[in-house]
Amino acid sequence: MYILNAWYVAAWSSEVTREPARRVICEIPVVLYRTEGGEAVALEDRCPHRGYPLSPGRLVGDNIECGYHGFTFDGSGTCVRVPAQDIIPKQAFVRSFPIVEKDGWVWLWTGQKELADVSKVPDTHWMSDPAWVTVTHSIPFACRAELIHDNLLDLTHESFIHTSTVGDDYIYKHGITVEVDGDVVSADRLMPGVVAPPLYARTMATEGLYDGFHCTVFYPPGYLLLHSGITAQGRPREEGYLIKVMNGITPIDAHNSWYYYAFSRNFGTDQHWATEELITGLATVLEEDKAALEWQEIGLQSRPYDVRDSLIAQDAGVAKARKVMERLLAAEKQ
Amino acid sequence: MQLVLRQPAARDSGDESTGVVVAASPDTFGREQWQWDVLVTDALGGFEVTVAHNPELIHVVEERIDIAPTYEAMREAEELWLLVVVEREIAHGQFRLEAGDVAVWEGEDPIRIRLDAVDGLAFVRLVRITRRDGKAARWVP
Repeated sequence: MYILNAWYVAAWSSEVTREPARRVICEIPVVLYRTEGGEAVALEDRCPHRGYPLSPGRLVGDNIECGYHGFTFDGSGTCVRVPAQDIIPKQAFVRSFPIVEKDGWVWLWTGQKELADVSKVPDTHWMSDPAWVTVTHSIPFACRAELIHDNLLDLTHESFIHTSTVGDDYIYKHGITVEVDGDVVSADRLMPGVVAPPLYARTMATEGLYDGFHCTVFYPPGYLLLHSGITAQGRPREEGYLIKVMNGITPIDAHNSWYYYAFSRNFGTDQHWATEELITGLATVLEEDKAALEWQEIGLQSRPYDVRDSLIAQDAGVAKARKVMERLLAAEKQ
Repeated sequence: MQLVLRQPAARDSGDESTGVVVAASPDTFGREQWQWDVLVTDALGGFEVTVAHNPELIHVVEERIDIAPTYEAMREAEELWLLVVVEREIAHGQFRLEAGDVAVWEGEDPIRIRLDAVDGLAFVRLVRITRRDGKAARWVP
């Protein structure tokens, strides 16, 4: 069960080329390619003739030709050629999906076309803002998307899973403020008088104590924006070293997800060594999360159906996000 | 720990005419024995607050507070405070809370809470929840 009337990150712009690429989003197979004019196209990756995926086929101009019997479809999904006969069967069409390319990501709308509102594609401008430097990764996680939402809305796990990079005991020792505004849930933690996280300390060129903060904002169902950083004690956050982490979480199926990750910083932007260090360090962070959440997925799959999580106050953001997701899912079923 | 619930974000109680449950313990039905819940109804003349609780487990104190222009009080460590803005607007730290918005405070440290009426006067309903066994009251058990 997925919320389908939503924008999900389908790929990096750089992954959509003249070579058809397959993705599965909410169990829907999708083929992505680019027209000769550079426009991105997203079609259902299944030929209506016999169900063969279109992605192993080839592009003919702006159209895609099925690799099995040559049925050919234009960018709207209309069949324009059946090689073995002149008449094109009425039912020979594939579904096309609204897509938006922005700041390096390709967003795809999985629901009813008429409801696709481009203005609802989340803000990711830091990825293309020259005042910020961005490190990116994308990793398939063998876990349900909700576990990644939970992970990002409850950052106390950093104290235990990411001890060498971004973790410290001071995280779980500080409480959170959770705010629910419409469908958007945020979990904010201020950590006064702490040292910079190990992964960033050298890049930030800091010593001594600062006010640390992080605030995860969940835009359901597939995007979480993390505002993080340190600032001089007692000073406003906007004066500090700032980090924006954009997390596109796209369900593949009930037990697998794509994690599209972009980490933008406004400090040490001309220090290439720092970027290299972050590429490696953040890959470690993601691999640590991947390992943990895949273990959690295994644990949940063997857990009896009637056993529930024992949530604590630090899970308030998690609990509220789950409720919003339940509400959105129920609304879509009606 | 602090929770801010904006007016349209509250959970639907299933019957719009009876308002919405803005906080409850347990937060998920069937998890454990029911303790309390707070219902907010948008009524003529402001928002109305209805508290239901299990008296064997929970003690509740409700009060209407006229904030003119400031209210300050200490939330003790074991207490859970739930505040509903009935009419007008208040400021609490970085937050502006309008009529129908809800704030919840709980946690292991006592907190001094200060509320300011944005236009000099505002009306709120404060619900103070404690457990009879002396343990700290929670909104996410």
